[in-house]
Amino acid sequence: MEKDVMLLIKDSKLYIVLGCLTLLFFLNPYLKKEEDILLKSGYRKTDGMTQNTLFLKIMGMKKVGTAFIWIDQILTVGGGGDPETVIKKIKNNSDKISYLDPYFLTNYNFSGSILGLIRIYKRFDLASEIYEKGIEYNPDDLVLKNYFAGIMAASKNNMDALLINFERVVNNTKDDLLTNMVAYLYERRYKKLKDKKDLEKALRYWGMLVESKDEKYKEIGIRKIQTLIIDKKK
Amino acid sequence: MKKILTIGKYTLKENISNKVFNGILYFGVLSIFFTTLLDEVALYEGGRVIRDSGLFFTEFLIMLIIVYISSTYVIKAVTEKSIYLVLTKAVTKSKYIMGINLGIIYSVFCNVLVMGGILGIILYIQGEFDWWYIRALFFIGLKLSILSSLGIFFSIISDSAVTSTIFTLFTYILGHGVMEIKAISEKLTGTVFQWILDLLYIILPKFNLLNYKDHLITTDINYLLIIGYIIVYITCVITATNIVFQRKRL
Repeated sequence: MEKDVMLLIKDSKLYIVLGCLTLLFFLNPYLKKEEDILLKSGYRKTDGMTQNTLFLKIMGMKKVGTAFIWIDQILTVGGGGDPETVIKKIKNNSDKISYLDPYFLTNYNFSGSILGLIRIYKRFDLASEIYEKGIEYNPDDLVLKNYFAGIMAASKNNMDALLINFERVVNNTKDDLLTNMVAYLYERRYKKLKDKKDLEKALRYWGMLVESKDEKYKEIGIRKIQTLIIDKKK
Repeated sequence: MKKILTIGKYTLKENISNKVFNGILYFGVLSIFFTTLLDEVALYEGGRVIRDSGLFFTEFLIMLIIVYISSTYVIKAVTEKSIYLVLTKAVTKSKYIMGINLGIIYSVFCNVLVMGGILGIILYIQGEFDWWYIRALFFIGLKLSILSSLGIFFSIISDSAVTSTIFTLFTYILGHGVMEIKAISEKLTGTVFQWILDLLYIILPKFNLLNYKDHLITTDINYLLIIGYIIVYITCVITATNIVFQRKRL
């Protein structure tokens, strides 16, 4: 035993290990600073924290977790069902995504607009909570701000403000849901006030939907353009 | 040096002909193709979903391969007695260990190249391929290189494939949670547990820092410091493995 210890002491490799451990010890405060940067860049509150999201965060699977919750969000919206249950699930999923990745902009825009603009939901309170969270973590994003302003205008039935803000978002993002909405609002206004400018704008936005990747929106765009052209000729 | 490189090359060749290695690799490639199906249900974020889930599968499956290989390689060589053939041909135990480490690190990067390359082509078609992706793959390689060195170390100190696999897997899990370990230790001020947790915080590999694919904001991190840390850590583990292996009766 004593012989083994003596041999170990004489072994130069032992000093390399000790040297490396000392280096690791000295590097530690610098590495801690880097960890603090990562910690500060993450979500700072606890809403959206469940056993699963906490596990994903600790295990370094925030982004893949976000990806799968995002798919669940799309399926929830697409699947429909009892409005109260769907509203609860959309808000929960949005909170979970924010907890894992507060910089995921599509989450705020999509979840917020679904809750604020779809007629059967119309939960401006929850939509504004989602947007406020988004703006807190992404203060420089203009699309998010315009979306939020548009939702607020919609909650107060201020059609002009809503159209100005949503047009800016549509021009930047080519979002199908919003393009459909803007086109529909211009068409409705044209039918009410018979202003040719509104018709031109409605045609422009229905035209944008024709380019959509989503077959459903593409079909709506084509159908609407055909009807409006017949109207225009009359 | 030449002998270490030769052992490394031989280890890589042996790994490539390993059935488990190939099985998991094929499964990994299939999983990456499976992620492309998610594009249909991810609406506006198809590219992002494919990239994030693809990178996750890449790391997870290569981790499984590496844990299996590194925890069983030396034990298998001793059981099959092939280690004696190498050690009797003027190859020292240190060179053997360094060669194996190098060979498994080669295998890590080969796997990253194959699986990452396939995912890269898919991402290129989706328009999501960029430098961020290449850096994420590089960091997966570095992270798993540390894990492979630890796997070999555990297999030599534990003498059992099951135990060393469990140790390596636990190190992988704990390595991601070092920040939480530190947070717990800060709450236990003045107790023995604080000392133990602080020691664990220093000794465990900081996989949370190396997890580039999961960093939310990437610009402010000092990557030179992190690469320096990886080099020091791997050197430390390989040298410690050497010391233990020198004194081991085969």
